[in-house]
Amino acid sequence: MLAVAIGLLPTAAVQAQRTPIDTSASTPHLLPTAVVEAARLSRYAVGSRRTTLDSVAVNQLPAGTLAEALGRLTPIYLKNYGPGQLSSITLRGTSARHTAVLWNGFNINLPTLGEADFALLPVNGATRITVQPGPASAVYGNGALGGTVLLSSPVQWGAGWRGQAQGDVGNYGMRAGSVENSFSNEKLALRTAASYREGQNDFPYQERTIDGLVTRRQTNAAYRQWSLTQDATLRLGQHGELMGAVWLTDADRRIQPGIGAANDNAQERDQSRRLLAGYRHVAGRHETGVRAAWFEDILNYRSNTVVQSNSRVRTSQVQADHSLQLLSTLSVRVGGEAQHFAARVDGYGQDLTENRFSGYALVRYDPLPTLRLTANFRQAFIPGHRPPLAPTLGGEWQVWQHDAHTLLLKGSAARSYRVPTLNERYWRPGGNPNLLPETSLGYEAGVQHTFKPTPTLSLATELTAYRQQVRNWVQWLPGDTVSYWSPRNLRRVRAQGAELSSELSWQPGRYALTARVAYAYTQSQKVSGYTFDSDPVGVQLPYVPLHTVAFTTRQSWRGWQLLTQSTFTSFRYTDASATTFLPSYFLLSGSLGYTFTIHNTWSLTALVQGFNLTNLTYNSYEARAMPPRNGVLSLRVSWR
Amino acid sequence: MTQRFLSFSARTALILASGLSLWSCDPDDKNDASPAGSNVFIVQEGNFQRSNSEVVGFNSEVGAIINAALFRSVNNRILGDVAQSMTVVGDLGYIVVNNSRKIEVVSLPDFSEKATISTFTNAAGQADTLRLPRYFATSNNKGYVSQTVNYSVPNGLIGVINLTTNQVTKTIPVGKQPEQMAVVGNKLFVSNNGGNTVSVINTLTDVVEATITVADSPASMVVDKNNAVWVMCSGQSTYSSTPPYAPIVTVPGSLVRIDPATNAVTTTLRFAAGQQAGGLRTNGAKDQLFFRRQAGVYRMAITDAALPTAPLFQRRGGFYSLDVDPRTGVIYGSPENFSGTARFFRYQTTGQVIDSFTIGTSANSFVFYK
Repeated sequence: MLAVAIGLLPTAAVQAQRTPIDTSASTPHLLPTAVVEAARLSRYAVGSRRTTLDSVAVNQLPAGTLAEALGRLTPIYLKNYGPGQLSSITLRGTSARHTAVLWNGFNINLPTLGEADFALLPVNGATRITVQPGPASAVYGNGALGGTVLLSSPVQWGAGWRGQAQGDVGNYGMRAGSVENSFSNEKLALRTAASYREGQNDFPYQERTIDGLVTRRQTNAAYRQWSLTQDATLRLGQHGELMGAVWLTDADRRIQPGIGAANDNAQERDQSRRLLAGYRHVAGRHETGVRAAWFEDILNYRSNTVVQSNSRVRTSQVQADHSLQLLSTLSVRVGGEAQHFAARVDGYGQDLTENRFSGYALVRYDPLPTLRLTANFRQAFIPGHRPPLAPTLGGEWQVWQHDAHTLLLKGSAARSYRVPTLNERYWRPGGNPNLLPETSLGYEAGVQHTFKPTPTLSLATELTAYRQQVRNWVQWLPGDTVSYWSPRNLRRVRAQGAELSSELSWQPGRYALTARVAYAYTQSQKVSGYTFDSDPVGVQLPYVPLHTVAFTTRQSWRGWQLLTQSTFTSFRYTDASATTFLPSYFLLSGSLGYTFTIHNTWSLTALVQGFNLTNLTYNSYEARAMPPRNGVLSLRVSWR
Repeated sequence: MTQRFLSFSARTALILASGLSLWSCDPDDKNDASPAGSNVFIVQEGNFQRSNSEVVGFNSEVGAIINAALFRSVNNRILGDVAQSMTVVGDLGYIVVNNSRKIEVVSLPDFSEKATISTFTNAAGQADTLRLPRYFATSNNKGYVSQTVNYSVPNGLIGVINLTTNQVTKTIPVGKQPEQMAVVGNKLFVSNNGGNTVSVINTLTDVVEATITVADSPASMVVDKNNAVWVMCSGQSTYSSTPPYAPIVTVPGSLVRIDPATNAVTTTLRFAAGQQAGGLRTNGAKDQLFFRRQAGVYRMAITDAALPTAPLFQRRGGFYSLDVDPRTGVIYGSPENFSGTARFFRYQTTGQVIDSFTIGTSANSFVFYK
């Protein structure tokens, strides 16, 4: 505990400054002179909390993954099976299947599992990472019950050439390299990003045996992964914009065995190929967009006991939308999307295809300069069952502005849905094609206070409270009369909580400081179930910590830059009856760097990063060892 | 301004820090319970890859759980990943921990650690280890452990253990996926679950002296009062290719009786089409047989000419495990639950339920001691 106090105090006491993390829904990178100015979907998602990760902190390790970035910079809990291993998110007390991950507007969750492994997504695949928790993100479609993680790379027109290359060397055989290069004029914008990373992960951990405490080296946890992204946007005349993007990710991982469990030489290959192309036409008050995407997701697993289990899903999808600015204060957008899944999964015993459709209408109305309202409706169509209409209402009202203070009230209410995954429907045995979609009814209210007493000092604080209830929550349980497990719509789950965040920026001169503290209280419980569902009601769901805190700082002075990230995670139950748990932990990491400016256009940065600085022994997932204190040395060349 | 701000920040940090100390108060998980007094050991295999297996100590006379985590509370370490079975030999307990590839030997009833049997030097002089061990049996002062090796190899292994040194001294190949074993005199009968045979090992020479063809998928085995070996063969099934992928029993189960003197199959009682059964047990007098089929628990006399058609009792969802207390005839059964706490029930010999108790996860067996 003392360590917590020590960790917090010095940094907090030096409280001071810098531009705040962009938490607004706006797109500041679009030049005002833009010929085509497309409205983003987020314009229709007001009234709920949004957090965009600090890109400087994220890009300390461009070959790092979204799992690491979210885990260090936010109070979001990710259940992590070991470094580089499966990392599944829990947003607002829901399961990983309840968070939609969108890449440029398309859901990239695996259609088989219905969730994303955040350890497979290197951060340099996108330039902006935004988290919008809560069911109001249903505006983005299926599965966004707990929230949405939005990955995008907004274009910055007329920026010329810029880029960076970085090499990293770390403990336990970690080697990484990344390069990003972009070019834009007023007509064409290109971005190429690539990263490679490997690690042996042979870190030491301790295990108690009959001979006492023995130190072992982690076995079978090596990984190798790479990512390649190419984005291109071309303006066609005064009204048109053509864009294309490719994102390839590939990970070859050994599967880390549990402490005390035998090494089964398990390994997994995950490969995703994502291609998309789109055209947007803006003319007068009308805007039309058409986009198509093709994804191929491969997940091949094998071990000594499970000789081979392969899975490949190809998803083809199209989206079309049309927006109309009826008045300067009123705009509407209608759109639809179609998805075609073609699955070749060993567990299904046969090739399968499935089509899904959905349509939506979005309204944004700003009756007063200080009041923004949205109303959205989405209807999905899937084979067998029709999910309910998913409406979302949201509003933001700037109630008070006085001197340096601004007070904004936010609120939203939404019904969202999740279509059962392909595994839940088709896995043999057990797959249940009669599963109903899960639905969620949720609402949230928040207050945001901004205090900007001087041009160099600002403090932004946001408090949000929410509650949601998920019906027809799908749970795999042993069969009544058969020997296998099967998913059923078994229970109602209520998640409620509060989120508090505060960000301070201070830039008195050459020194600049940004400090952000975020706290989440998350209560998630089953409130009712069928009699045969033996898990009890009224206790916290497993792997949902009641309290999480993230405290991050970024300080710079001349060429120096110091970042710290500390997170606290309270205990997590590991079973549905809330009887066994993993202890709480406090993690501290940080980085120190110095940038030499070699030329106007060239600079060199040397960086040392340290993780788990207090050398804590902890578990994110039961019986999975995590590395002790470890570090990375990096060298970065930047040009512009 | 800045001054005021700094003090505010410091105060905030202090409040935050004290708040954190409050929250880090994790639940109390101290286990001060004594290991003494258990006469039933309940094996919780736990969840695969979570190393949360345990043995629960229960007293059948008082009808109370004595210690919910015997191994950890006594030995201050985890038992391991997937405790498959426990066998009592005199005052020693042999706990086969499947996915930890080991056998933990504990003294009874205090449950203190005596040895870990895992790695050994094989006949070729190479370092070797138990490979997915399943069940344990003894004969002629030696231990025998069945090992799957993996699910695709044609031959599983029986490891022979010197019970004095706790070393594996020999490895005997048998059929595919050897499971439970039964001992009669100097013969060890091994059910080869991945095939349709029972291997017979001479425990004086430790060589396979016969392989008996029984029926598809032999698994559980008991020896009756006449020293006949009974084997429950579960048959075969596949899954329908159309939703909801119902199981289709292609070969029904069979209950097979072997005469150990001649190694001949003397009786084969075949279940009706579509029926499968498992979990063969016997009572203390060894004149009755018990087994599980779907939600029901069935009982028959060893002299019965046909399989019973009506269950002794049943419970929705059936049982993951079933054992009969040889001292009293009381039947112990645990329904399947691996997501949260599970229960086990005790039944009279009439099938009347007596009571139930909450344990960590489902029990896979109940082992009776003294």
